[in-house]
Amino acid sequence: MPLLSRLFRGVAALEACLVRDDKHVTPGSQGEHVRLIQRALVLLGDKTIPTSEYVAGLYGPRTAAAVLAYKTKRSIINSSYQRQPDNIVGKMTIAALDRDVVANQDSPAVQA
Amino acid sequence: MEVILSVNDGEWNRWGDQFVKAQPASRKQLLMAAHPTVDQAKKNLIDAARAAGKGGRLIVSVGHGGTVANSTVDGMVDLAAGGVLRLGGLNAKVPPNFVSVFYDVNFTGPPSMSDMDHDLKFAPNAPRLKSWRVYQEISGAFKQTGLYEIVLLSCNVGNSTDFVKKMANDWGCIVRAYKVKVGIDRNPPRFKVFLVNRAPPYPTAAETILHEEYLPFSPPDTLLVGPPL
Repeated sequence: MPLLSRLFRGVAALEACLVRDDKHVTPGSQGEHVRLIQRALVLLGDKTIPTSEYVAGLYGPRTAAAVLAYKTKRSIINSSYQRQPDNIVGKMTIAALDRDVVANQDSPAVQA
Repeated sequence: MEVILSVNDGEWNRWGDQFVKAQPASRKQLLMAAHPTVDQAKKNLIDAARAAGKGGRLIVSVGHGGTVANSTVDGMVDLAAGGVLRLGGLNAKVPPNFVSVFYDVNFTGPPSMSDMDHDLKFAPNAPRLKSWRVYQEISGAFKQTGLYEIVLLSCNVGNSTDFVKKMANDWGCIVRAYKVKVGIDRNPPRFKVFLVNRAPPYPTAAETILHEEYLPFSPPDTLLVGPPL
């Protein structure tokens, strides 16, 4: 099933992330697809990603920490090879973000 | 629908673009020329109100606002760019203001009369009566549309509480106005709108998004008034 949220749907890099292991979004990545992940995290309550990483669309250390916090909070762990969550946006994470964004995308405003 | 009417000055309209792009299904931008005629501005305002529709929100982002210390009935706000539809409060001089929104109010009671009644009786060709009719057309369109809210994205006019209440009464909807200076942070291609007491820098992505894509949000700095129920 493709991504459903208004934020993510139709974005090739994120659609690929949903179905292909080699398209995971990892620290050091850069681009509009990273900015969309950052926007999703902000929409879901993150207040730690710095403007510098957001403006650059850079999956920097603070974005990685925000991803890790998100995955920890939701216990997103691939139990086939992991005991703890990591800071990578893979299939399970992008699917979880998409579900959470769908549930929150009509919220009136982010709160800074 | 949330409709923002922006002055096409290469700054506020570009912030308006960001505002709409964030929620394209429920937001729309219409543009007003930087130096419109009164008729053009009137048409822009009425078109924008109708685009917002019944229960909608119209954001007027076209000009300046102001207040007068220690007076709730005095102030000014632009309904058009270039100051061509500058609404004034009780003691506004007309011109240079376009009209006083209290023109139809008789403050002292009979046998005195409102300025409007005076002009209707003794000066039917008075320019301020013509201006008042334009204001009435605009106000009538707002009221007829049944807007939920009009947001005056202008500086300071939220301090002029009775001035804004009169407009809310004339327009038949809630009016939101800011009590502090409203600024725009120009850093093309990104623009941020902020209240002066929440000025740059914005350290987090959350604050950046808030200022790039949402109306300034600060209840203590905002006047929110409605017409009588």
